[in-house]
Amino acid sequence: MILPLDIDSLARLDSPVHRLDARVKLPCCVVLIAAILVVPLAANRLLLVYAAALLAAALASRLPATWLLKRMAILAPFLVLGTVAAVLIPSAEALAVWLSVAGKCLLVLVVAVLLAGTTASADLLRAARAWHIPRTLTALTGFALTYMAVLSDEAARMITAMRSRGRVRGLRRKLHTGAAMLVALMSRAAERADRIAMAMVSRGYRGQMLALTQRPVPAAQWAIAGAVLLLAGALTWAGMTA
Amino acid sequence: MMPVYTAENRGPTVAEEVSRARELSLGGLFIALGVVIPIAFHALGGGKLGSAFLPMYLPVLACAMLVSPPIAAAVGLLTPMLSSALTGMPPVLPVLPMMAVELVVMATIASVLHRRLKLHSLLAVVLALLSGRVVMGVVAWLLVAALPAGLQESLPPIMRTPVAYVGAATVTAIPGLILQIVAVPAVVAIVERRRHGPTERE
Repeated sequence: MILPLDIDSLARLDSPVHRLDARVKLPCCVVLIAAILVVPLAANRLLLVYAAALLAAALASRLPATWLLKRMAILAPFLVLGTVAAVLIPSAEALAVWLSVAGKCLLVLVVAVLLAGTTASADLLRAARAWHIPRTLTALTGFALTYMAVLSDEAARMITAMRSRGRVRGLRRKLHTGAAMLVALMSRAAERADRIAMAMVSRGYRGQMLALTQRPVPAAQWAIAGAVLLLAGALTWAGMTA
Repeated sequence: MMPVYTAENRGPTVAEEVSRARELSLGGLFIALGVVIPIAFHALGGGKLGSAFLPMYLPVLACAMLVSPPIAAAVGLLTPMLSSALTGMPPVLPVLPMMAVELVVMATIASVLHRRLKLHSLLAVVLALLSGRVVMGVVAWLLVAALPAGLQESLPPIMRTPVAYVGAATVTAIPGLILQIVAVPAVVAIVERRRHGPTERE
């Protein structure tokens, strides 16, 4: 397998954050992200309050720190380059702008990583459907997540077969072999898609994906969502009046 | 709730349902390929192969030729987003927004040209790639223009002039552009020949 594709492994942990319904977590995360992004430049210190709240959520989620840091590492090159540029420019305004941009990027990423780490992808898709995200987008994402492991295995098998046939010399021959492999991989995927479509229709697909009715969200969980909304609202108001 | 069909509103035929289901499954599988193929490229030749061969563009363009424009646009939007979320490639800033807009426009144009206007797949790929480069320049210019003046001056000159930026990115990606022009029409021809029989489009 090319990809480490057990994307839901950490979503099976047990913690207060994991137990929150995805239909509550999704809007909470959207509100938090919006609130973080509208923090004005003059109120950069408010980002620390959000950072503290997110740190508390991360600790409560019991996600491994190494996993969290690994996921955050994708922002490292951008942060390093920006920091070097901000230090080289002797201007307080440029530094404030950079602190705001970097802080917001980092906090938004933490929100997204916490959501992804504590929620199974199927629950996230169901929540997106419940919040009326277009069904085409959720259905496409569902298909992609379901078949990623299968296609990854197929690609790995083709690479192994290519390597075992011996070393390909010369750039032209390498390109030719690589292109042939890609064409075969894509046409096999299209063939598989046709088979899936026939199976869908024969199992009752009538223009929209069928879904089971979901249980209602407990009132206590909506209270948590209300608290998040209040916090975000209060901090946004404080930022606007600062 | 399931729709109710009457004598006037007969609802979709089985062929239409199969076609819709096929578009969805094809879109989903090619989004998955858009995550898997770049990883395979990185596994084979390191990170530099990504910017030279544009491996994510391959499944998006090939899929766009085989599905309707709305599904093609959705595939163009979801592929870089899902790849970024699962693998960290492309990075969230500044590459992801540029790539998402570029792929949405490219996929929509490719689908409209090939599926609606019945243009040959080779010509549709070339025009879609050209439009993608133009969109990349516009988005790069918008991103730079959104920065404060102080930070704009600190950027390297190549980032401040969209034409130079797009030129440099295009020169780096020449092998990838050639690969798209060769591989995408080949995939489209294979799939269409299998679906419609050998004589329909020839």
